[in-house]
Amino acid sequence: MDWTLLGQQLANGVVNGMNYVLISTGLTLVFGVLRVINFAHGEFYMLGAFLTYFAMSALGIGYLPAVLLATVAVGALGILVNRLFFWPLRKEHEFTVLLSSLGLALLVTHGAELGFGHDPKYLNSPFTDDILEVGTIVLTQQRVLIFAAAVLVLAATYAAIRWTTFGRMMRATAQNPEGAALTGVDIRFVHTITFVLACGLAGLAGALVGPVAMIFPTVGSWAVLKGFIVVILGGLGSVPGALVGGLTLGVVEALAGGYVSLGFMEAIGYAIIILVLLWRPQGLFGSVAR
Amino acid sequence: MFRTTLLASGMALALLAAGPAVAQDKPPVKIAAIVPQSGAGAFDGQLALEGMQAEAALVNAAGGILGGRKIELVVYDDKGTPEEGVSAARRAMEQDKVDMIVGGWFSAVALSMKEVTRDKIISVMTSSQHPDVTAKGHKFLFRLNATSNMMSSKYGQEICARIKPKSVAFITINDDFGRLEVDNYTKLLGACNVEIKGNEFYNRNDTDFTVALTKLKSLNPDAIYVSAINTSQGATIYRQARQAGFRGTLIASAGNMNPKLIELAGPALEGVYSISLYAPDSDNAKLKAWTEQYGKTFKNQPAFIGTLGAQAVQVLAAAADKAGTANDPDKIAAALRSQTWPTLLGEIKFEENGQALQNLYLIRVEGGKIVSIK
Amino acid sequence: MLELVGIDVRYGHKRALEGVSMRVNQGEIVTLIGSNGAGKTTALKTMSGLIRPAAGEIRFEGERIDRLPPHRIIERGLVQVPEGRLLFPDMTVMEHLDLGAHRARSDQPFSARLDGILSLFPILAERRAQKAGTLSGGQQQMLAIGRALMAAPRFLMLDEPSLGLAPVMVDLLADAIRTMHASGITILVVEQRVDLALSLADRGYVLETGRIVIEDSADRLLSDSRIKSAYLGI
Repeated sequence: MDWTLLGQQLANGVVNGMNYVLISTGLTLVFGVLRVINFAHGEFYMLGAFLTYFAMSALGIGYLPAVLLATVAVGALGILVNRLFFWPLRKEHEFTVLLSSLGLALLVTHGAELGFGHDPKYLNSPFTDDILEVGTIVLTQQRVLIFAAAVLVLAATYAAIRWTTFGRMMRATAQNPEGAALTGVDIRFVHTITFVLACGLAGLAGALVGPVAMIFPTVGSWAVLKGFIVVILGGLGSVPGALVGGLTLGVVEALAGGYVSLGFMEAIGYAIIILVLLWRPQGLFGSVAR
Repeated sequence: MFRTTLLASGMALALLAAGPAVAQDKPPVKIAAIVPQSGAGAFDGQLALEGMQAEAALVNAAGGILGGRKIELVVYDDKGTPEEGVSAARRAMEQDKVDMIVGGWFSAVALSMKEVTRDKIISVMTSSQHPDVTAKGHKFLFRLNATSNMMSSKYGQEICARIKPKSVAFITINDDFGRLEVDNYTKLLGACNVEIKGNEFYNRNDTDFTVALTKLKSLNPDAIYVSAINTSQGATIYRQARQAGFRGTLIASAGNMNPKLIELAGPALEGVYSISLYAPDSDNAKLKAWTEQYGKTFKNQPAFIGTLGAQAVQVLAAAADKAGTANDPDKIAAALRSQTWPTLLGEIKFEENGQALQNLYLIRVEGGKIVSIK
Repeated sequence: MLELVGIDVRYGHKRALEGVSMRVNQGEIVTLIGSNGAGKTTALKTMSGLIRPAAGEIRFEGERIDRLPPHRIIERGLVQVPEGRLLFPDMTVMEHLDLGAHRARSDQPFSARLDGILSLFPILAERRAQKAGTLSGGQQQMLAIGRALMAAPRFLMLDEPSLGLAPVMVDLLADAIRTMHASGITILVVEQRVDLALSLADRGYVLETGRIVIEDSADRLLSDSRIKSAYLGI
């Protein structure tokens, strides 16, 4: 057994997993609080990456300020998206809302193809090519940054949901929307802020992960697919579920890719889902009573 | 004063209106350009179409073909999928009554599309490499790109003779093409005593290859052969190979080196080898004219896939001229097979099954430019 | 204090309320009686702002509230304890009370209101860290009332508060309603147990298929033969 290789693959898996967690937390929040399955979630990941790219090239600012700007901008876009696509449909059938989100996804992707061009772009972060050696494990600074930023942001998000009044409003809305309204929760405000949070998190993920690969207008469909795998694995609507689900998927993919074959990596992701759902149809952290 | 201005502008308008009318005296020769304009292949499709447009502009500026008929490109989106490719070809033939078809950038699209166009219309398949595109006879079908077998046998020789790695590992896409690549090169390189250390398959939608590259690096090969058709996946693989700490030689799969890849992969691509029909530093006059025309109209760097599009327009125009018709497929096909054609990629000749025989150059990235190794 | 004038509510083409007019004066306990599906819950939801009336006006202390969202209505002191309690199963007792308080506009500090509620329902003090989903039915009803009281209501609407409660609990609930009333809260109660409702109330309205058919004092309603046969089973 080559322990260095194992350690390296575990590190790869944990970093990728944290990225998945960042993508899927917003997705699971939007489902948990608003009962909306948002197929357009990946587009905010894409927009986060592209806005960072254009903030750097057009405004001439550095990578980190651009990440911040893009995250805030994509978060703010959440207000508009909720207002135009989701709030007006809140009393419609779930399927209508789902179709609306699918339409939004297509709209944003095609808009991006027209506006940004079809060609892939490289989001240039100063940390991408710099290698950090921790013992025998090699990681780029960018990957360490992704991991650290994700831990920080997710801890803050989790604490806010757990311990602030707004967090209580979100949870109350998730558990009983009508009861929440009769307790004085401004449901519309909760919807708006939840979308802002979800979009902001997706945007941040795109801005941070963008430099690790290439960015192109259809990259969102990859992100939303991974997001759904994690969310189904962890339990729809559960934030701790997204954390465990994301890390599990990252590590299992790395071990499967590293010791079986990368070609099976994707298949293995689906295989775990099937196994988990056979054992717990509600996902790892989903509660049966909804 | 006012009246004269009005009169002058009126006359100018009349002249403008008359201009196209004169040109329309002779109907244009319609060539269908079936390219991916959306989906993962959209950027390649754009480069291909731009190449065709630049060449059509050159032909038209020189007076067109068949005694003054202009070439008109009718553009269809095949979305990179066989279904859309088939439907585009149907629309081109049945609704728009085009004279000839250029398409088949992806093998999967070419393989389906050729069954719709079979024995009905001159079809030029472009960048697809699958041997079956020309294997199962079709009297009006021609394919420009070298097949993967033709490329790999030439590339195999070049790797053994000029790159000379002691050992090699592969990272290839998990489909028919990738498997074929591994089989071919395992045989070809094994024959000249290059040790094959291993292979990793990746999937069409993967964006992170670190896990595979970590594994390949741990095998400690002299060179890693990267098989990637998709430019953005390719660029990611080269970057991540260096980020994972691999310092050996990188060899890019045949036909997959282009300016966009250099832009995206940056320093990670320095010194990477490939083999191509297109050597940008060639002194071919037709290539120079096309490159100049391309640069005038488009902001992208000319790419191999664009030269293939241009070559398709070039040979179709010349063959139609020789056959004296734009819509008699029997005569045009006979013309295409009859001689060697000078093109922007050098001289080509079509075999009986429609497969083109082209020149192949060993190329390498040096100082951010593609240069041919003489 | 609260006045409904000609309220119409429609669910699609179906009319749920038709020309409902009623009023509750400050300091009263009023009850709304009716069989299942008569529109009682719809009426309360409309007053809380969950449903918008198709026609008519609702005035609270002279101001129209029928276009306000629920949280704005709660801020004015009009609070509802809904049918089925509508608690948040994974949130603790304290979290419910905290959340209940966030729209309160009151001179009384948070801690004083909390103390008042915990002395009214001492069991909630014992269970303060427990999740609502693990409470018994009676405890859940107390929590629902406690949550509403944290909003410092001046007008409290109770929708079927005795539903599913054991007899001992029902007595406790009746006492609590009297205590709340004594503290100056005006009350509108909807109750399946018409005898209980009329024993508490000053006046009552009877709703049948979306229309008010009888309006009278509680005493006279108790002796009304129509009420006796339809709702009291005598």
